[in-house]
Amino acid sequence: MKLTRMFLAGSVAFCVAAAPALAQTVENFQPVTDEMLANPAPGDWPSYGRGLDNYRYSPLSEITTENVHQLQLVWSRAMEPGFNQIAPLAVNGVIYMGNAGDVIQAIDAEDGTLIWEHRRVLPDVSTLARHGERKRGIAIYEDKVYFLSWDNQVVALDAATGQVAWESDRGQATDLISNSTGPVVANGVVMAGSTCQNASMGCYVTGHDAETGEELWRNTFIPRPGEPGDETWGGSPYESRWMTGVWGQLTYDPELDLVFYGTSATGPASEVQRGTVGGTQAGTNTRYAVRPRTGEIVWEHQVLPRDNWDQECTFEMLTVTTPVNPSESMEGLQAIGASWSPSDEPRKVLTGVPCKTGTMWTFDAETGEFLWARDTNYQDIIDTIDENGLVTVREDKILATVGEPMLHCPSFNGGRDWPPASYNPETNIYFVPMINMCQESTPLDQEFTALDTYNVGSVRVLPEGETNAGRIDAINVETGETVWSWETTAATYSPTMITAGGLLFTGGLDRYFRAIDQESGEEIWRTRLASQAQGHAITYEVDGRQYVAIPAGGGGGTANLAVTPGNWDGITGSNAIYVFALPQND
Amino acid sequence: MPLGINAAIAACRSAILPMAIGLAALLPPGAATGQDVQYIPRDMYVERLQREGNAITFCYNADGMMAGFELDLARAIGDALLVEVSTRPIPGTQITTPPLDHRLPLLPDQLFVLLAEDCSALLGYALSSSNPEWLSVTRPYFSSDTLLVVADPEYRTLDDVPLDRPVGARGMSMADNRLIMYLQARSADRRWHRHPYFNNEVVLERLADGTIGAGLVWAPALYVHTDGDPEAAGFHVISPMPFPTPQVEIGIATRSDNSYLNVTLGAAIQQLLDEGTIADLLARHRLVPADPDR
Repeated sequence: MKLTRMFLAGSVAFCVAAAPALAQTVENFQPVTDEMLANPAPGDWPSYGRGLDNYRYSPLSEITTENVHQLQLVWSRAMEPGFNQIAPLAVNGVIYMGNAGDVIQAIDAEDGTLIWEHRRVLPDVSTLARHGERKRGIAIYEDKVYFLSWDNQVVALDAATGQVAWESDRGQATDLISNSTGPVVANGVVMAGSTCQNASMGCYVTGHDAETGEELWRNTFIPRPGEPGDETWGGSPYESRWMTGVWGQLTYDPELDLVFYGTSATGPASEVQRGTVGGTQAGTNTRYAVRPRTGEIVWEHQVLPRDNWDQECTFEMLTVTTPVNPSESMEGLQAIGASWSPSDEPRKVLTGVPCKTGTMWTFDAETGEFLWARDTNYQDIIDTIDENGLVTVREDKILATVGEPMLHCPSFNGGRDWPPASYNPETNIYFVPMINMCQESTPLDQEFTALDTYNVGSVRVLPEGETNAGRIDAINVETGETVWSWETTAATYSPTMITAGGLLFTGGLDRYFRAIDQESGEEIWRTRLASQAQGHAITYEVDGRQYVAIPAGGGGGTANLAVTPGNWDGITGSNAIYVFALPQND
Repeated sequence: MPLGINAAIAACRSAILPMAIGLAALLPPGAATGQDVQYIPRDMYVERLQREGNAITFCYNADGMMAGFELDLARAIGDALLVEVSTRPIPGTQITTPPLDHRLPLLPDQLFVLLAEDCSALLGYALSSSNPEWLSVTRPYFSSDTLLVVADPEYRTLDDVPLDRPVGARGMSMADNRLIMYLQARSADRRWHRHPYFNNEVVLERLADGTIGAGLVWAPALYVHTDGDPEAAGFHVISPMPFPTPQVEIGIATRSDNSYLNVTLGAAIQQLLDEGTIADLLARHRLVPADPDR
């Protein structure tokens, strides 16, 4: 009797942990080393941004500006229903990817055949933060695939079989803490941020031993009473400080052994309603450089204080080795650093557009020294950025009066939002997807209803004079000058991906999967998919053939982004991954 | 005396529908926040998946402080309308129900599905200027005030509270907004610091531990917390309020395309208010002072 009970209990435990995996294995699986992550094989896409640098750049060049019009669908495969903003990985002929609702798969990259599948047994998902449904990114390292579960656990799967290797519970899942963008593995540490948009507390980044799952450290952002920065929160009580998290992608630079991440803002949107009048709120909208083994903060810089507009400065920034010669004539120049001087000597910088404001920032990656900043899309929130990179926001744009509408640019969706940018190290050009959109926000005078975390009424509109919402800008990282700006009717809400074939690929809310000429900024190919594409396009090679893949289907934020008139028919649903290639000669 | 459905509609159509239309006109377009909107199949906008005949299923928040009252109210409405009534707790939700609060643990799209699949009406819905267009709220069955509460019996008015002692409030409420305006109207050197908290329970806790000198508390929360007797529990209500606060109006939510039911429920509520049934239920569940003369 006792043995029977033990057997049953053991069986249940085994089923919960391991049953969801399909019993196929990745043949001849080769562990993914630090070196392979730092310098991926040309045909692989082993990390969220291909390299840990998040360049989203592939050296593959079989598909070019001359032959891209010949692309054909090679295979497609249905994906799980839900938000589909997935970033697939491709390693040695196998695609590893998440699906909405914690379904992780290994798929033959050549023909789309499922190899293994892990279906996580979740608690009642209606008790969890909905942001955790989307599995934007997963990671692979050595012999394991890592993901952040909807119920806020770091999970390691055997990369060859899909079986659970370990789980590390970060807790507070039912307090509505979760993760949307996924982990990175840096120097043997699995690191992941968290989202607290609907939680009544602040969030954190954690570091876990990649082999065992042990939590090594945890960094929070909101200062407690008496801690440095407490005085910048306008005297609000600690238990009223909430939401700030890291839900954008982390970047790792192996040479500096630094991980870079950025924090989001707080709620409600109006500083008057949240009780932080005039407070700059240290820890919010801040870029951090951190040691992955210990969590030690090496430097930090707040890129937007006193946020009243949900501008969330959590998006990936990139380390780039480049001369730094910001042009005085660059469009939208905000400031050049006090200590900068012209030089043709390359230096390692941290650059990119971290906030929805669309402001492009460049720092010395090792020290955090401010080098330059400029606007991209139209914004009217930032008043000045001084030569030390200190930001002052416009007093007349503060949501200071309950019930009074305030038009501000950009909107709660940017400017820039979560879709990652890309960077071409050969041309030193950065390609960032953006949205031309402003918003009229009104701090609400009503009883708080469920999940109205910003407590504003909002109406999105195009900026004055604009007719297109969708936009991609190409910017020279050395000079800060705009190379070109491409626009389209529907809002762009999909990452960019670039190749050595001179192409930029991106999806669209209008269901188009596009290729744009990196040099000219002209659209040179597109095909229409069954539903809108918000997924991360990637490219990879198997047996000498280059493939381009994009996940598409169920999108988020669509209703908020429909600011342009016309019938661009951005239907959602029918999740699938689509894979294209050139016709084979034989 | 039971009220027939047809009579109820006749009595209330002229009163309720204009109110509903007026409320709809107040809705700001796209009163969303920065959040995503979940996909809802189009047929669910025109279909209801349950058909109940001469019966009404009410959903209610079983974890809410008004759950007992709402169950009794549903039965009373059934008696008034001579219809069969069933009650169903809101299924698992993404939000923990805040203690001592009326906030519903539902996303708008969850509410939509709830009213399409599980029940015809949802009890405990606070009137709001940003209700989605597919939702209508009946006339309120409960209108309640927000009170200014202190723990120090020496404080008889708000001006008795020293300026270095914060004033707390449940954040993102209309009463808190009035506090904001009141403080903004005073000179900077005569303002109390304001502490917005997540729910009424925290306000009462911070009053009790002395963190704040005064607090704005939704009246039913105070009475439930103190079993109808705030004085006995060490809380004192400052009256009159130094500034007016709007009442919190709570009614029953239905889908807008179910106007027949909405009007019918409104008529039943009116009858139960008129004959004192609702007042009795509120007293029984300690949502009002134990002794109204106190």
